[in-house]
Amino acid sequence: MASFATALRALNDLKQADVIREYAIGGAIGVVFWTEPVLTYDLDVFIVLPSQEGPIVNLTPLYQWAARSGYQTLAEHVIVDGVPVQFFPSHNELCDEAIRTAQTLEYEGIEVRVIRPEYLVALWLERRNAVSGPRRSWSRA
Amino acid sequence: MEIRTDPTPARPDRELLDRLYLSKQALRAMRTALPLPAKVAAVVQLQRAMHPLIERQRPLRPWERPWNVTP
Repeated sequence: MASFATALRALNDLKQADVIREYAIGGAIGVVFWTEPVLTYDLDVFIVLPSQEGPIVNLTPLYQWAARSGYQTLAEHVIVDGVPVQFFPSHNELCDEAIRTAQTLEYEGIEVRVIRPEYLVALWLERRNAVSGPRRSWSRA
Repeated sequence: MEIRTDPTPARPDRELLDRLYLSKQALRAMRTALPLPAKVAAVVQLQRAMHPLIERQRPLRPWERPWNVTP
């Protein structure tokens, strides 16, 4: 059976292979690292891509890496050792900072970078507001 | 249907409320302090428990399946 630790190791391999410059785990699994277990079905990974030419972000190298590594893709997720992983290229300075300031934690002997709690909250609020607009109580503040 | 309400329902006193909320805090602190593999095992357990319930409420997304991994 696949292991969660192996999926985490793959993130370091991705960086080692120069497909990405940096990564940090976010989303619900990021929360699990800091607090209590919560329900999620995927692993969100925020990434900094190498410089690319042109204005359009190209994720082809990432998917090529997945194919070379024998990982299937499914609805924008890469299935890494049984764990659906979604890669989010850093979209603004907040996200850059969240990735840059991520803390290195250890999981079964594997070092993984995890976004700090305050940035997890900030990114979650940012996304929520983008989807549904700021809540009235927030917009009044 | 007539909804009957008791005009004088029993209310918890401050001490009981404090005790209930403190025990909730203690439970959350205990879960937070679990080793990471135990937390991931709990996530997988939640996935298995919630999967059929979510499926009954809405179509599942393709990746919404319990992970077949060892924590």
